[in-house]
Amino acid sequence: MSTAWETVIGLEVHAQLRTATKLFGPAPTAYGAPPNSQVDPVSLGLPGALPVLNAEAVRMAALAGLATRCTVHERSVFARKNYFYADLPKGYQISQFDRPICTAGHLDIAVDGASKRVGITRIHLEEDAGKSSHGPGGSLVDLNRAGVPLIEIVSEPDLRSAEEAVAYLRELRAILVYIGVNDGNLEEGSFRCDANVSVRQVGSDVLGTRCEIKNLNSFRAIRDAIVYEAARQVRVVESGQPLVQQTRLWDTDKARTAAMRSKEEAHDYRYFPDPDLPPLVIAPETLATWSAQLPELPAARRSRYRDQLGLDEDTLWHLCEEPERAERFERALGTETKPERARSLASFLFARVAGVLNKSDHTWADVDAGLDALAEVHDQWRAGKLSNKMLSTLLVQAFATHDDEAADPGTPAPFVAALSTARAAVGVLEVDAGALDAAVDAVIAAHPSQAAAFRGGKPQLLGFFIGQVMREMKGKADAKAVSALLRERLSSS
Amino acid sequence: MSQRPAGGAAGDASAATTVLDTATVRRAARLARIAVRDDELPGLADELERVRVFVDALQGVDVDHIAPLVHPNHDAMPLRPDRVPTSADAGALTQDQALANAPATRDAHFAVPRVVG
Amino acid sequence: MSLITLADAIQAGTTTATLATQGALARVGAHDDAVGAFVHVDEAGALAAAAAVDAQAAAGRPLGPLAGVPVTIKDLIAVAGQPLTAGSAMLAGYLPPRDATVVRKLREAGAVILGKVSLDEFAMGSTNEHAAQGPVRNPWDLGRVPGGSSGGSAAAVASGFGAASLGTDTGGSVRLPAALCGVVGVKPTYGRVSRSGVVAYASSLDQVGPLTQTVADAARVLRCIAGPCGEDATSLDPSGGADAEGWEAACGRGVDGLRVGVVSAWLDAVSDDVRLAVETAAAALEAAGATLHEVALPLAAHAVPAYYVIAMSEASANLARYDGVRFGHRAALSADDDLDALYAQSRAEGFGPEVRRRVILGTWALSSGYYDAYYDRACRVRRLVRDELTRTLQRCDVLLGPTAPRCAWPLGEALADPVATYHMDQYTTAANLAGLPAVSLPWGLGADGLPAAVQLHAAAFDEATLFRAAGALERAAPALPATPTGLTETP
Repeated sequence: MSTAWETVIGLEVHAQLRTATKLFGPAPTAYGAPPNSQVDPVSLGLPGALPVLNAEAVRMAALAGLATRCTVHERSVFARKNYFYADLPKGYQISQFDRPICTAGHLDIAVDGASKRVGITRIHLEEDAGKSSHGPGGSLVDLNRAGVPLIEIVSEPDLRSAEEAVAYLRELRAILVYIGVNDGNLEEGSFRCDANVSVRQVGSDVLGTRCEIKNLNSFRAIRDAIVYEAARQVRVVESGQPLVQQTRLWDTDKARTAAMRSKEEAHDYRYFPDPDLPPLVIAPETLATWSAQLPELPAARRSRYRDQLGLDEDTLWHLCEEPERAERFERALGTETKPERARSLASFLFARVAGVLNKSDHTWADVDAGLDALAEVHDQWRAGKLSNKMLSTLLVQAFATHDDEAADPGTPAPFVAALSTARAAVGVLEVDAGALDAAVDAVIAAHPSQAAAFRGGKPQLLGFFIGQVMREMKGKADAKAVSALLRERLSSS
Repeated sequence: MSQRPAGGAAGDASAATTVLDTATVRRAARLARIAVRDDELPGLADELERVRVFVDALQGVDVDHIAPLVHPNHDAMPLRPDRVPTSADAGALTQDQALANAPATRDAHFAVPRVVG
Repeated sequence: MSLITLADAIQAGTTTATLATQGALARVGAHDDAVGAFVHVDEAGALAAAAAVDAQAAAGRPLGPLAGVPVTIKDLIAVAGQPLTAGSAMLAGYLPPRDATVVRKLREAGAVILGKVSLDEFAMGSTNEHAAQGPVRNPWDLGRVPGGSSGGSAAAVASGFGAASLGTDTGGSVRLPAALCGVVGVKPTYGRVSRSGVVAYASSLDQVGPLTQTVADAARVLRCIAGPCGEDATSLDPSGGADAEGWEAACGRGVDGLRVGVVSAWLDAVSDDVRLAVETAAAALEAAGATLHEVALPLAAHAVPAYYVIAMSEASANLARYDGVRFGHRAALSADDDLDALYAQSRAEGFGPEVRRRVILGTWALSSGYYDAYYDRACRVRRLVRDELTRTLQRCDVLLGPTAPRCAWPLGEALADPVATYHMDQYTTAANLAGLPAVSLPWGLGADGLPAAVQLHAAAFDEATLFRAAGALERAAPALPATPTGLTETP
């Protein structure tokens, strides 16, 4: 007798804020610096060092709250969370406990065409810990990351599947990147997620015993870990064993979760208001100013593109995931916004061009000044003035010349120059509409039996006709245009 | 701190009952990461219990409807601009300064024994 | 010689910073073996700073308000290049990378830093016997305590080891030793002075304050160290620095029409010497034109337990950073000791008994199941105490009472009974809980030849009125012998 089980997931996201300095001290926050070189007396917890809150971190946390429809509170309070660990310099973490900066928001996700609203319990500001690397002889501690500002975004347990969890995280990540508070980098750990997973019988409104899953550093890991953990919990419960509330680590290589090794001891964090930090007060006028600074969010942009450009959901998601991507697209698109061109241009830029770009040492930033010219290339290609082969030659050449051009510091926009050179070298097809018409007509006339067979249900003969026309044109024609014209003529008579 | 569970044991604490017995003191010392030998515990618990009885005078004060006060003269805190100071005695420390007082370092890291024994 | 007299003489060129510094160092050499105030004497640094002031004067450049004045610093406050021990074995050998804000400000005002002076470990104590370097002795009677925790500061000023010292006051730690050593000690309004670079005991109570020979000297030093600081989110100045300029003048303004509250209940449990001092001081203020008002502060009776719970709780977190990882004492470990063993052993060895007691109790008072009944309740009582004092200081301009319940007591007494010693703070902790400014000033010698003292409180950020009343009292106070009696007995 099998029971239907439901997975219940709540997510805790730690997002690093893109400030220049730490949350409470003046040291810079650069990633990848030599160990213990991005520290100050505050992040080292030196005797006598005092925290002073970074104004920009407050603005960013409030923006995150505004973007997720939270209440951003006029007053919030910092508390000390007390515990000992090698990478926690003061013996306490400064966080927010019972008076966080933002509460009660939500964001909407769509999975398999169904939209769903996911509650956000709270967003609070806190400082990151340092980094311990463990070896056989002991642990080594680097405090560069200690004190880096984080927001912790806690969702309601509203998610019911790994797919929903990933959709929520992708949407949240896109929002934070759009509003400029987080770089969305899961690999470097600037966007981290812990998942609280439990299972219960469908129809039950009681939450089961939950496990917190950590060490989830890609969307793939998050999806796989949730699927694994839910199945594990169902197995345990169905076998009649009790579920233990515990923290488990995802092991990507072994594709399983395992209980974290720790001493048998209940935590007692002894939260109390940090006496070094009076309440954080955000004036209503300040909040109104910040609210006005909010850019168009990914959901709004997707909906605009959907309505105006008729793009499909995959393209919409891809385009709107990063604000720079969407902005580039809009610049290249210009005023010619017919859906066919928009779709074609999106795939041209983010499939064809991106494919060549990713193999070169260019970044999109290099390309920005040449977006208009690229859009022109796209339009020529679409009009049949560039064959696929010519296009690919052109792009490879334009991106390959970067190194030489970049070596000359006097060149203002190396990519633009390289693109222009490549376009001149490749040229365009002199499409003589009359000659092509004549060639197509001549070839059809010369092969009446094949034409009849094509019309009779042998579409594979199209290739034969294309080849004949290309020969007639001595290769000076675009295969797409030839194909289109042939289809038209072969089906019309 | 409203999310905190209400204290049961302490609510009826009085001078007549020993609150800080050796088990409680052992737990607190463990939380505070201060090693206390077993033979020191009874004496320490005795000293601490005497202090607790002294401060227990607070239990008689009517504090219903009185909010806790943490910062006597402050309603709000000033914030710091998000800039790395240029002055040498205000911003970041050098790596050498950061490690100068450490009892043990390796490869420019603070070195500690393994986390779980 | 008072600080202001000395600074004026250096300004006028009738003496030099070098002579003043050499004189102070000579007194340290002659008497500090007996007193034990210093934990570190920076002779070379002091003489170099004095020479710099003299060169500045010789070049005709303007001198700062403390130019050439030798001062000492409680060893809880960071001075770059000098050890910072906080009176603890935990910090033996620790060298801070930067000056505390107050030290930087003293240097900018031209002060010459003689060195670091002793204290109760991490400022926890009322007698200066809880010091890793050993006890400080009272210069008036070497068999007695100087008071604490800024005992080294008070003993240094009383002994003429510099014209001023910076102490810190969490529950009376400037005022109590000032009272026992016959000097002036000011605890400023909470927030008046930056705590950046000052080892924290209890962050919401700690405040740096000057110990000096005269009230005007304290006003001058406080003016130099006060003001908001970008490295302390609790430092502020509602007047924008304007009122500090008037503090020295306020000392001479007189008290005509000033409303002085006298807390009668605060005389119930004091020695005869102390009672007499407060009564004659009240009469002197009245004679000088002030009006006396008897006030009752029933809630202030709860200040001491509330203070101890809050201070220990905050301290339990503030002292968590002393873990033997980035600095400080690390216990010798065996191969199978883990990180927790490193913490527990290092902290057990590095902290003295009083610090261990307070950290463990503070940890307990914040722990699950006890938070509401102890820490949270103490914070609520704190509001009651603060509100009562604030209300009273709307009806009165200052409050007059004792600083300590008695004159200096013999060494060793407090170690035998820690809890009894907590009662020595019963008149000082209310100002810390309420964040008010307060001053202790000498009121002659008691019957057994030891200094007696009285204390004044004023409203938050009203140091001007505090100095006005203190200046008037000082003019009426019985004079003290120029040299403390304990020092005349030593060669």
